Amino acid sequence: MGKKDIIARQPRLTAYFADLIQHKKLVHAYLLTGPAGSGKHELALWVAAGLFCQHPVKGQPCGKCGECQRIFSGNHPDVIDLLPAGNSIKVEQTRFLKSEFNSSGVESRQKIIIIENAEKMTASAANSLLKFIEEPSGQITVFLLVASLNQLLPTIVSRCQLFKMQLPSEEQRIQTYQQEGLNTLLAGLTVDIQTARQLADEKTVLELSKRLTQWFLKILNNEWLALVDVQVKFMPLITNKDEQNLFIQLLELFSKDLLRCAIGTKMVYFQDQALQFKQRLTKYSLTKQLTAVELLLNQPRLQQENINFQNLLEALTLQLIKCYHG
Amino acid sequence: MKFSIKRTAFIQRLTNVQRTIASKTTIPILTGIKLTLTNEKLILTGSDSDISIEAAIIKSDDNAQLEIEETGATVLPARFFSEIIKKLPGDTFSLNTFENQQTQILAGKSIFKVNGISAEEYPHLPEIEISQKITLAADLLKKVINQTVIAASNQESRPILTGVHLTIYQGQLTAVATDSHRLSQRKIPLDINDLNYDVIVPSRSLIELARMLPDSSEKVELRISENQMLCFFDQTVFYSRLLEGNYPDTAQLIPNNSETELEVNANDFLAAIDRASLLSHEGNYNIVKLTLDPKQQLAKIYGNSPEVGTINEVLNFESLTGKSLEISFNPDYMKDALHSFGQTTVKINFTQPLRPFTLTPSENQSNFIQLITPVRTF
Repeated sequence: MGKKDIIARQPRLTAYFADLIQHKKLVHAYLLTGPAGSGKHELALWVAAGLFCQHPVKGQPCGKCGECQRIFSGNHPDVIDLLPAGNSIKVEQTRFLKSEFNSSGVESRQKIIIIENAEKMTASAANSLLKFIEEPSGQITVFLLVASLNQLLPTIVSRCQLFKMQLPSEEQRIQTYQQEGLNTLLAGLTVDIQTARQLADEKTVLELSKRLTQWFLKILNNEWLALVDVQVKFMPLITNKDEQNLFIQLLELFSKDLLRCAIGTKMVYFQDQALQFKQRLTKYSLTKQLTAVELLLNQPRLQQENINFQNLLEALTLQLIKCYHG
Repeated sequence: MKFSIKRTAFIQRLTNVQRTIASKTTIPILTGIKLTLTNEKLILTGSDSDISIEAAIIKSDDNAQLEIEETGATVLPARFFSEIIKKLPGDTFSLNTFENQQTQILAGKSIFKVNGISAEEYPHLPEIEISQKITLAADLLKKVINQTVIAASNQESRPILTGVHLTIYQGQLTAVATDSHRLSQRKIPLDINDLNYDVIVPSRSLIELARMLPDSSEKVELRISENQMLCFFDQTVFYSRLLEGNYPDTAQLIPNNSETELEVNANDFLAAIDRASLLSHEGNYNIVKLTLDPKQQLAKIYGNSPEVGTINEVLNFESLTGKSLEISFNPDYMKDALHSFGQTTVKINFTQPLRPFTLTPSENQSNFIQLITPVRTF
């Protein structure tokens, strides 16, 4: 990820931070929020580079000097990049973090600590962080990167300066993705074009979305085979939690499209079968259509409650059939 | 970079440097060892970011037979590099780095090619002006370290207490460590007057430094920068990061007066405490009780474990003056403190049963002091 890239993607934030660096006004803790792929990590590294760079231009890093190179290759001893190993920040990492908060830098006193997926901090890690951000010592700047604010302790949030990553609007995203020859469905799933390409290469998403539309058409046609689809078509492709989440996301996007249908605008994500849906859906009353959307939107919550995923989908199928035809 | 060198001399330096290199590190380049070749010497650098060690082999060293052909620098993966060097055939080997950082190691008929990393990527260690140095004898520094680190905390809850507080003020070095239950303070005079420092050095670094320091009165040099402390000795530079924060004010903790004074031989007293702690370790409360009765010139130590039994011992002492007193304390703190005195008589000054008491060597009471907080018993 080049430095040009982050300036283009986050023009406002990069300009703001460049100004801070130039006037040496960086505070001790920043909280960057935005979905995966919105450039939080790149921005934090960019700021670090700007701070350490030997030839900064108005607070912006040159990207060529030794300092910048070392920061971008992860070899700078005073730029600490902490990525939780697995589901949470482990004890060992917490210990490391604590000692880093209390020791001076290796090369100078200035230090930057970047904590990725900060919501995964364990209580003990969060507390040691809290201790630091309540009484910062030394020249340390912490960047906390989170997808959503709600998952972080409010006491931490209230002690950081908050920044939301600028995201391209959905229309812009759809446009750029189309130019790149990517399915518009991906624009709904991710804001990061790299991830989108990866998903497109893996094909699971596209295959799942195809099967999803076929399954829903069966429901609309009152074909009971839709119930069998769950076992035969979906489950083989949904083997782990990530894929479950992906499917839930697809259901959400699909419900958005159903809503679009209901109010008479074009479907955006599932364009391939748009016509068939339109024809069939117009037969049903608005109330029925809305009830169906509500059923779909209820699924993420149910999934959180650890209900068996296949049961969940089968129940959904039955409820939908009942909703449309009952 | 191109040079040839005697293997034994190189391995000796390499093992010194390698002790800093951790197998797990967040910074990939620190798994490597940096070789820098100048016109006069070869420098090996290893670091785990807390501690860094630079060891040099100079050209004039006859044991090393260093032949410099072309200067330069590179970083090689430490684990493989040291294994390779240790297993090479012959007495000498030569090392040659090409432009793409590939490094060729030649010994006898064996040729290794190892992929290196650019030395530019390696952390830049601070350089400190030579004028700001503090010189002292290696064995003295070692003693200061060993006498103070025992009291440093190893608990993460108060990270600042895991360090040793070094203050250099008006030609005197004061080292203090405390874990809030005990304290150890050592003062030594320095031959400089114009330098003032106030730093906290992690005790882990100091323990490592003490292990490396020679056991002679050879001079070592200390230099302190805003973020690191350096120690120069025997062609080696030892760097340690400092702890950030304010160390608690310890001066006010040390009591000035005393009500009861006991003078004992450190070794004898240590042996008695050791015996008493045998039982106290068994119980829930690791304490021993000391009863002092100056009127009858009697000092007794009592250890007790409800399950196992009790121990009573009448102590030998040199002198006992002041008021009578009964005090309980953790015998392990006392053992650590007594160990640090060695073969000498110790003066123990008590004030009240619930106030900290101090231990000082009888002949020199101001330079070295150990303080222990008693335990409240009923």
